[in-house]
Amino acid sequence: MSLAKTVLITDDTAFMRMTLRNVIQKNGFTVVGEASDGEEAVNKYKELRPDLVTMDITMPKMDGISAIKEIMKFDSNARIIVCSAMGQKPMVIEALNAGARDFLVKPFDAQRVVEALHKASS
Amino acid sequence: MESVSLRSLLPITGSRVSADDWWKGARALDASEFKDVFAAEAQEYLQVLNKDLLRLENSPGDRNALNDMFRAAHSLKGMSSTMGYQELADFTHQIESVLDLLRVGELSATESVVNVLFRAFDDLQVLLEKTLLDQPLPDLDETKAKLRSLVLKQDTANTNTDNEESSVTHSAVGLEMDDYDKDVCRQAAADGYAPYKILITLRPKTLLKSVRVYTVFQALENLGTIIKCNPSAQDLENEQFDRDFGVILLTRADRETIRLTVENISEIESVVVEPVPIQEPVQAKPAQMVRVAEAAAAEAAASTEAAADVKEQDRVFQGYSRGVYSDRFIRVETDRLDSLINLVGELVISKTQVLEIDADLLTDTARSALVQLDRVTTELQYAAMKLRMVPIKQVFDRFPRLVRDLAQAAGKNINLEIFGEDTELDRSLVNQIGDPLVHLIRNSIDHGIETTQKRLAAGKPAQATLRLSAFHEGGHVIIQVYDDGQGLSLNRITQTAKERGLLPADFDGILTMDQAIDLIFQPGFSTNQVVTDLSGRGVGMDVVKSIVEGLGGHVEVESSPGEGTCVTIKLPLTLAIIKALLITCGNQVYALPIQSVRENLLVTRSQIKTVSQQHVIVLRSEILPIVDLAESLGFKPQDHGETLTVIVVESHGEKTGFIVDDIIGQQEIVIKSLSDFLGSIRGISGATVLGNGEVALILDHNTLIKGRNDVVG
Repeated sequence: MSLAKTVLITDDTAFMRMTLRNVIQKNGFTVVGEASDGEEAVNKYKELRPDLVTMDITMPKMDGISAIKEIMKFDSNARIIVCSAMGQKPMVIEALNAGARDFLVKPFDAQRVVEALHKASS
Repeated sequence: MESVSLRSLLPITGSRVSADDWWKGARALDASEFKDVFAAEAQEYLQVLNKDLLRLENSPGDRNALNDMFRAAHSLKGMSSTMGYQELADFTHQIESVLDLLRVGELSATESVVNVLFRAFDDLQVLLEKTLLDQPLPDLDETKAKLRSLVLKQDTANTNTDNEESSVTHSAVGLEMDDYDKDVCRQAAADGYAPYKILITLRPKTLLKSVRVYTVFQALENLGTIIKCNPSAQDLENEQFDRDFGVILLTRADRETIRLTVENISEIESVVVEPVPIQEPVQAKPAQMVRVAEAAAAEAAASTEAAADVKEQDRVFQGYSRGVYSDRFIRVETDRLDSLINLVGELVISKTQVLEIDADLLTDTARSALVQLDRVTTELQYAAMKLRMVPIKQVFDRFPRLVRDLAQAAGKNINLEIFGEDTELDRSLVNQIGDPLVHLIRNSIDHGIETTQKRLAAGKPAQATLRLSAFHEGGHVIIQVYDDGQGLSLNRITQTAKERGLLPADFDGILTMDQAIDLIFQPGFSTNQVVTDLSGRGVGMDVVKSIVEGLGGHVEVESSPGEGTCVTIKLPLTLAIIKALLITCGNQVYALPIQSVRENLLVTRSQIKTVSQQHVIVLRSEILPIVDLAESLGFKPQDHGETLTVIVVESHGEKTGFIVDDIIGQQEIVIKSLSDFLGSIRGISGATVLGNGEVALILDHNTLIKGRNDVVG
């Protein structure tokens, strides 16, 4: 890994964004931006062109699945990891079908987050 | 979690493989899905085995029969191991080995071999039933030893097929490919696809396991087509597994690529990828295959070439039959059908309610829409009823075997003829008519048909005829069991009736045929002196009669001494909808099945006489018992005034008049069973919902009359 991979964090709660940022930065990735809803995520993706995106599903304005679709439309090589709560199985499947590379289930386990980032970026 | 369908676990592969291949792959997955589907299909294969073994017995060397049997056993084996029924798979495998030897001509179908197979099929039936019920499995060591000895005798000669076969079985437990899968593999081999078995273990505490499996499927589907998985897709989706699962992938990718693809998915602890050998070289085209076989033939026995031929035929035949049948038929759980019928019943009732709206209140448009609704609903009702109709073949198919066994045991020479096996009737009838028919057939063989010597002495052909036929007549299904035996023995029946106390001991003379027929339907009557293994298990004609009448049908016997006997069973086409007479009694509406109603009478109170504590009237010089319906249902007797409405109901040849409040009229009703909560209530067989939404109980005339007799007696 020559250059640190860049990550865009998308979640509507500041707490989750903070937790994720903490884990991601401690493990050799660079957080280049945060988005608090789907629409913002799409705009920031276009602007920042990050290597990886973490995407929450339930968010105001535009939900994660629509955001994934929008981003995939813009860049079919986008590497998106969908973040879900337990019991969102149908949504996770939909996100995977929309192009997400992997999924994380809340509450997050730091190792799992790192694994997902590594695998999605390889 | 219902919203994720099975299909969603299987991403559409689109351009990578043809849609057709994909469809086949998906279908192969479906096959291992439900226990019920497994049970039904396994039963079909067992019938094929039995039927074709009979064919083989009659013409040893019948290549088609052998091929069909081999395929049936092979498929059954594959299905069983996919379901994880190891014992069943192993036993079927042994049977298959014997069939394979027969098929390639290394073993000939002698009587002893055929008998071992018949025995094995019986055991297989038991094993299947026990397996499905999760009951302790029977000890089959004896049969297994016999099967093994047949194979061992040929073992030195046989080096080819069987060994290869068993190596597949052992290396791919639970992920074994059946003939069909192999066929798919062979077809795909031409395009450079090869099958790989992939065993995957998830990390402990993986969350949303099913979705993780889905990502694995998604990744693998990028490389090819998954043709099988274990556990079943359903179990994977419902997370009915621990951490391990396996799939068979048909792909052009190499082993390393597959491994890396899976390893790059999160939460995978380990992955093992193995190529799956299939019997024929995967890369070989048919022409090459024959060459391979020829080479082998030169080295080993000449019969190997025949084996290759057989396999070639199999391929062609299978491709054909799969295509044809899978396009024309689908398997549906019977519960789903039943619930459809139920809903249609509800719809018919709602329709009746709508049609009862006063026509004057409606506009012309509404009226014509209602007429249309009426017509469509009626058609829908018939279409739905038809869905539940199945050919009587399902019952008839087991009789050739039964007749063979019974005839052999009784030392009689019998030719079984079957007509009209395509005749359709309601599924629920098919399930229940089997036992009465078995009994009738046993009767014919035990009592009706004579020994060969007797037949020759009587100037009849040595071979007796037993004819089973079914056909539609009006709104009924007629099933006949005919034999050209000696007919009912009036002497024996007279004798037995005296012994059983059904006739006075001092009865002098002989019964007429009609009297004899009446007698054999009496409870406890059986002319058989010795209770054999085959007939007389305490089941008599009376039981046959009550089963058939319970199904809304009736039984008739015709017999002429020396010439034969014919038993005719007449059944309604369906049980779900019946014609009923609606009556009221104590402000409640009841329905009486119309076939039990003989007539309606108006009786004045003065006509009722009391004979031995029972109310009766004299009707056309016959005595008719009269009962208040309310009273016999356990309610207070009603005050009906001077003129009474009486409905004459017949059951088991006995007539009874029931006093009711009023008669509403005839109507078709949809039968609904009472809930389990209520259990069975004497005198009530079910309920129906009337056009106005009111519930009417359906009276069970049989128990009503019997119950009355019990009280009197």
